Amino acid sequence: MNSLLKVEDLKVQIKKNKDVTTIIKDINFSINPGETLGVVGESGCGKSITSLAIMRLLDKNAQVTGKIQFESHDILRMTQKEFRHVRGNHISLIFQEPMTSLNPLHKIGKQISEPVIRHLKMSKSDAKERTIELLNAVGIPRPNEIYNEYPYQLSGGMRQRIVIAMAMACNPRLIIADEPTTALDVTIQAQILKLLKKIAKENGTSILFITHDLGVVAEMCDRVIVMYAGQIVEEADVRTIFKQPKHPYTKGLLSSMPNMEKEYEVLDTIEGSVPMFNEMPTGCRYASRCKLAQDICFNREPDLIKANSDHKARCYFA
Amino acid sequence: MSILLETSNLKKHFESNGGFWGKKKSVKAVNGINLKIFEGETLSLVGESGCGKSTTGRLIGSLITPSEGEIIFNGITVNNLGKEKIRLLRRDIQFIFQDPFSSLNPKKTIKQILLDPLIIHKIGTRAEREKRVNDVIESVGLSQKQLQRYPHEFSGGQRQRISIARSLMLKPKLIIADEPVSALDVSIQAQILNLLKELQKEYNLTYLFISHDLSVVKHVSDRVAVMYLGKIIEMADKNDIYKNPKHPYTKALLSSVPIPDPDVQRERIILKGDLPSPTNIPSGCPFHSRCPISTDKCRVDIPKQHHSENNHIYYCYNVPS
Repeated sequence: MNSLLKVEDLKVQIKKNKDVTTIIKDINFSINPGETLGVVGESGCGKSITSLAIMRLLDKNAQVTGKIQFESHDILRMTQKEFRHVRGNHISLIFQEPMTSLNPLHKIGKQISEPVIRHLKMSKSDAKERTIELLNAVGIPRPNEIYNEYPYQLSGGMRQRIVIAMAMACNPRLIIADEPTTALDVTIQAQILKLLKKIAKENGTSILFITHDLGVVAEMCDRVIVMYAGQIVEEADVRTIFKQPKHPYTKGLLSSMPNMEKEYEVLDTIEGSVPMFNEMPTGCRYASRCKLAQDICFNREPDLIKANSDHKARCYFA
Repeated sequence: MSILLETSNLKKHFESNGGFWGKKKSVKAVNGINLKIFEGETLSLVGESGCGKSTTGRLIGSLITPSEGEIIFNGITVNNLGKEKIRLLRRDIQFIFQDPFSSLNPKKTIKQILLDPLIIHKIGTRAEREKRVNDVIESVGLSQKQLQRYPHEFSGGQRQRISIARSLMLKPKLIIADEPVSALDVSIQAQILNLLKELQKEYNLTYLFISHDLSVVKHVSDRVAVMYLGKIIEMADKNDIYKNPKHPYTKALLSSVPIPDPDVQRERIILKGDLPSPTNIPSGCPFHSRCPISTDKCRVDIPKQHHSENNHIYYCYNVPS
């Protein structure tokens, strides 16, 4: 199968004054059509930077190198004008904060129909019809009235539905969802996850699902990438990640999270904290917190090693 | 076990004037709460945002005054105490807040932050205070060397340890922890949860633990109270709540939590719509507008307390005990 998106050796460096800090490096992954790929990791591991790099939304002081192949084009080599036909049309983005990702000054209807008019070249009346159809599809009650309302008049869950409707507007092939349910309550989160699953299934849309919540990953994703300190440390299908994790960080993450189905006296912890970007160690980035670490781990950085055809881990002892 | 704190019909209504032409509105944040907290236990308040769990915590800690109802702490009615008495009470009730970035004064060193409670309450001589600071900082897993640093030099998890140290300075009886781990990453969250449990054993602390995360609550609590629109709708021992929930809202809440195991397939109860606004609480049972099993009676009458075994209480007409 040809992959829809293929990221090769992606590296992002931020220039500040004369310092250059590497935020993410050696990022390699691909997404197949119709697949939901989860990206998990703790704050600061570079998962959002990866998504922003794909959408070319990083600031000018960020240097992005590598290759991001979307269908037959390399996103990083397109001109701004060419990429504008892709962004919001073939690839769209759902952010975490539904409060801040909508424009407070424009009506809901206008915000959803904007990409439709721009990319699909629809007339205003056709665009309105399509917008109402989208509002229905994401389960908004009274779509004809909501069309003329402003974001502040809606609740958090409703706003996130609006953002999803915008993301779906042009039938994209890939939706990048960056912590789409983190700001929502669990009962509303359940509604939104169900909706995203339905979209992926019915339209065959691929989803790059970025989250820190392993419960959500177990529920949503086909395959999972685990990131730590700006690198991918493990990649496998969802069942393997949860049942036979190889990398000690993945294992630590899984056992430190309380699971409602189990009983614990004491939770396992990962001692210490993530190293800062400007003081990354020369060896394995996880070595200082790792219980298995040997001399080699502190001296030489491990590669992402294949355990079998679909399972990779960045560890000498995996 | 003896009762440390008891509330009866506790209410807090915030009045808003609704602007120049607007109608006066009243936000019924807490709308009649009856609960008991026993010495040495952890009682958790769970519910979604806007259900009034934080307001309840602030009422119990005397940070705000109730509109109605009573709080009895250690046999003393708290409501009508004067300023000086409330200050004494605060020695026994301390807070840990959610955001360790905004709850520590950035201009003070850790040592000053920890000394403040002792200075304000005029406890101990200088040497005694210093000793207490040194003892407490080590009990939360930080070192004395770090006392001269400022909050911005610490990570989120370390800052939450400092907040915990501050809450311990006055040897309180009750600690109200309002979402103490929600701002932290999972690996750090586990460290803090373990620390809270250790400290509880060591100092015989009582916790009122406020959280929206049902997996965390299951790990830390002895008893759990579920809130919806300013009311407790179900309260029981932890195992009864998680294994045998009675109220349809509790059932829906529990079924919505994603389980980190791809092999677990659960029947999920998806609720209709959103939480109603606390300015306009539905008549009858507050949950009837989203309830999958509501009847006409629920729209009119407020459900009474139902009892089941093991002090399991809930408020619903349609569930047999």
